[in-house]
Amino acid sequence: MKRIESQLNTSSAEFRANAEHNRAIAADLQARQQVVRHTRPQRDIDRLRAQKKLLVRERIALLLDPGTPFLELSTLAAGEAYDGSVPGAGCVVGIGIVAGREVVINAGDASVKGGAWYPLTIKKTVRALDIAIENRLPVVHLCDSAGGFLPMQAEFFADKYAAGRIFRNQCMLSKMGVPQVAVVLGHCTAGGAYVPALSDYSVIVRGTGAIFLAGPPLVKAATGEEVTVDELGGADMHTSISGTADYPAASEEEAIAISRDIVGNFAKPEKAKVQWQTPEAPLYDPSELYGVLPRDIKQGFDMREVIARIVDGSRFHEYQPAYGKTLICGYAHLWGYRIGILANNGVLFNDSALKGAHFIELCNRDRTPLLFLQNITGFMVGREYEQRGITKDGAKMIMATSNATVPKLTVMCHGSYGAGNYGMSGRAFDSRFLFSWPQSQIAVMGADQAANVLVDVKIRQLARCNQQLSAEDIAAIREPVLDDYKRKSSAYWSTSEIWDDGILDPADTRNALAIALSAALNAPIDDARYGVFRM
Amino acid sequence: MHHAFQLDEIEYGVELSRSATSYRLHLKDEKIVDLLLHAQTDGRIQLSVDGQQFDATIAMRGDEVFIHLDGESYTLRYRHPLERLAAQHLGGATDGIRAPMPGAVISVAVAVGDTVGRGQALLVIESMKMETTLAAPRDGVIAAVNFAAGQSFDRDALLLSLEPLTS
Repeated sequence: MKRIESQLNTSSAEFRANAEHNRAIAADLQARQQVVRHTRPQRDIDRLRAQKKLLVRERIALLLDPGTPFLELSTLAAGEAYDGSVPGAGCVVGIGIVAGREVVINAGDASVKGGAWYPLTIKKTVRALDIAIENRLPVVHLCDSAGGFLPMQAEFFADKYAAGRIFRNQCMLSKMGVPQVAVVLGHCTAGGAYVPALSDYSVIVRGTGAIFLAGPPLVKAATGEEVTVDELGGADMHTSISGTADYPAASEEEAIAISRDIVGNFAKPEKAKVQWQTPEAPLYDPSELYGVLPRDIKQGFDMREVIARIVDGSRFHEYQPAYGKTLICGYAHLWGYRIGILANNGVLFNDSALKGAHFIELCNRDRTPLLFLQNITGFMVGREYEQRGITKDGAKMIMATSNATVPKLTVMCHGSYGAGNYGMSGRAFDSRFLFSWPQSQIAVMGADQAANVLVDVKIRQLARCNQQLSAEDIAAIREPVLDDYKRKSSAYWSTSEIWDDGILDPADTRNALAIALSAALNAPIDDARYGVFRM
Repeated sequence: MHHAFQLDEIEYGVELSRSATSYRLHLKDEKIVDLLLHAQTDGRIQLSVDGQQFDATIAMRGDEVFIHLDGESYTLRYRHPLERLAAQHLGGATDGIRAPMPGAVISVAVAVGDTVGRGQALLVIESMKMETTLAAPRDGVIAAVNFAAGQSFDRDALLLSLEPLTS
C-alpha cells in the first residue's frame, strides 16, 4: 500500500494560522475536561472524605490495570444543560482494561449532587449499556447514587429510553451471556437498587454500601418502622441474610480488588477475526491535523490529509480514485487492523453516493470495519440531479450504511449537515462509536440558511396581510434564531446531549479509534444482509 | 516481490523471493543468489550476499534508507511501484483543473504565465455553502484562467489549465 503524499506546506502562513487556531480550541477542550473531571466544591469533597469514600476517579484508577489506556466516553455530557451544574452528567463511563479484559465501566459520581440521576445521567448510562450490548463487553458498575433527581422525575422515569432501560439493558446483557459485576460503594436506593440486583456478581462495602427500595426515612413515613441503614440494607444483611449481594468487603479498596478478581474469572470469548498486521506509526505526525483543519466551518479541505495523519504509515489504497471524487473511499490499517474509510471531499453527487454504497458492500462482505470521516454539506440539489435520481442514490447509500454488519466508527471532523449526516453513518445509524472534533458542527442546515428560511416564511405570512417587515424587524427575527442555531450546532451542544460518545482532540483520534475498534471486535460479525436497494 | 530504490538519482529495480530461511535476490540472466540479514546485538547488521559477508548499519526514516557500509554512506529512497508507474505518465490528465462540483469562483490566486509549484493554491470556489481551495496537481506554468471571481460554472468545467509538459 503506498503512502499518501501530503500536498500541504507545513511552513506556510495558512498552515501555521490554522495550527494556532486549532491548538487553542484543543487547549480549551482540555481545560473544560479538566474542570469536569476534577473541579468540585470543597464541601462536596470534604463530605466524601468524612464518609471515608474515594472520589470516582480514584476508584477507577484502582479498578483499571496499571499502564493501560482508559477511553472515557461523553466526558462533557450535560455541559450545556442544567446551567452547567451537573458536570459529566454526574457519572463517568468508558472502556478500560480490568484483569486483562476490555470492559465498560459505569461509575456514579457522588461528588456531583450526591450522584443523583438527572435525565442526561440516565441517557449516558443507557448509552454505556447499549455499548456493552452492541460490542458484548462485560460491565463493571461502581454504584454510589442518591437516586433519581426528583424535581425532574417526569423527564427520566417512564419513557422507553428512560431509567427503566438501564435495568432492561442489564437483563439483555445477562441473557446474552455478557457478565456484569456491581460494586456497591454508597447507597443504591429505589431504582438504583436493581443495578446490583440485576448484575451477575455484586460486592458491597461494609458501613458505606447499602441497597434498599426505600431508605429509613421513607420506611418510617410509610409504615412507622424505625430501622438503621445497616439493618435495612447493609453489607452483612445482604450478603448473609437476603442474598441480594454476594461479597462483603471491609473497604472500598478491598471491594474493588474483589471485583477485579471476579472480572479475571470471566470466560474470555474469542474476538471477531479480522485482518491484522504489525502496526506502523503514521508517516505524517497526527499533531499536524491542527494545521490541516481550516479556521472557517465553510472552508473545505482535502480529507486525504486527515487520513494520512490517522492511519498506519499514512498508507492508503484509494478505491475508484477517478469516480465520484467528492467521496474518498479506500483501505488502510489502523493500529494494524484493516479498515475501509469513507471520507467527504465535497457535496455528495449521484456517483459519489453510488460509489459509497458499493464500497460499503465490499467492506461488509470482506469483514472490513468501516470508518466514516464526516465533513458534509449534504447531497447535491437541483433539477438536473433530481432527474438523475440523487434522492434514490442517496437512499442506496443510507440502505448500505444502515444494514452493514461490520463495526462502524464515525468521526465528525468538520461540518455535518442534512441527509449527508445520515449517509455517512450519523448517530441514528448505530455506529459502534461516534466521536466529534471540538470545532465540528451538526445541523439540519447551516445557521445562515436556516435563519433566512425563517425570515422568508415570516415575510410571506405578513405579505398575505399586506404588511411589510422593516430591516430592523428582519434583524430582530434573524439574530436570536442565528444565535440559538449556532449554539445548538456546536460540538459542545452535541456532546452535552449525548449525540456522540465524546469530543476528541484531533491528535488523539488515531488512538481512540483503535481502542474503540478493538472493543467492537468483542462482538461477532453477522453475515451481510440488506433491504431493497431502489435501483 | 518487485521493489525499486533510488540511489543518486538512478532507479534500481530489485526482485526478491523467499528462501527457506531468508530471501533470494533475482539478478539478470536468471541468476539467483541467496541473501541473509542478521541483526547483531550492537545494532549493526550482518549481510550475506551469495556467501560473501558484509557489516552494515541501517537506519530508516519513512521511505528513506540510510546505509553505512565499508566506510561509505548511502541514501536510498524506496519507490512504491504504484507511485513510480503513475509518475511516468504524469501530465496529460493533470494539465487541466476541472470543477469538482458546480459553483462560483470566489478568488483566483494566479495569472497566465505564472510559475506554480505542486500543492500551491490556484483558486477558491464555493459550492453548496462550502469553500474549496483548488491546488496545483504538479509544478508548471499557468496556460489559461477561464473564470474570474464571481463567475459561476458547471461541474467538470475547465477552470484553469497548465502548460503541457514537454518530454
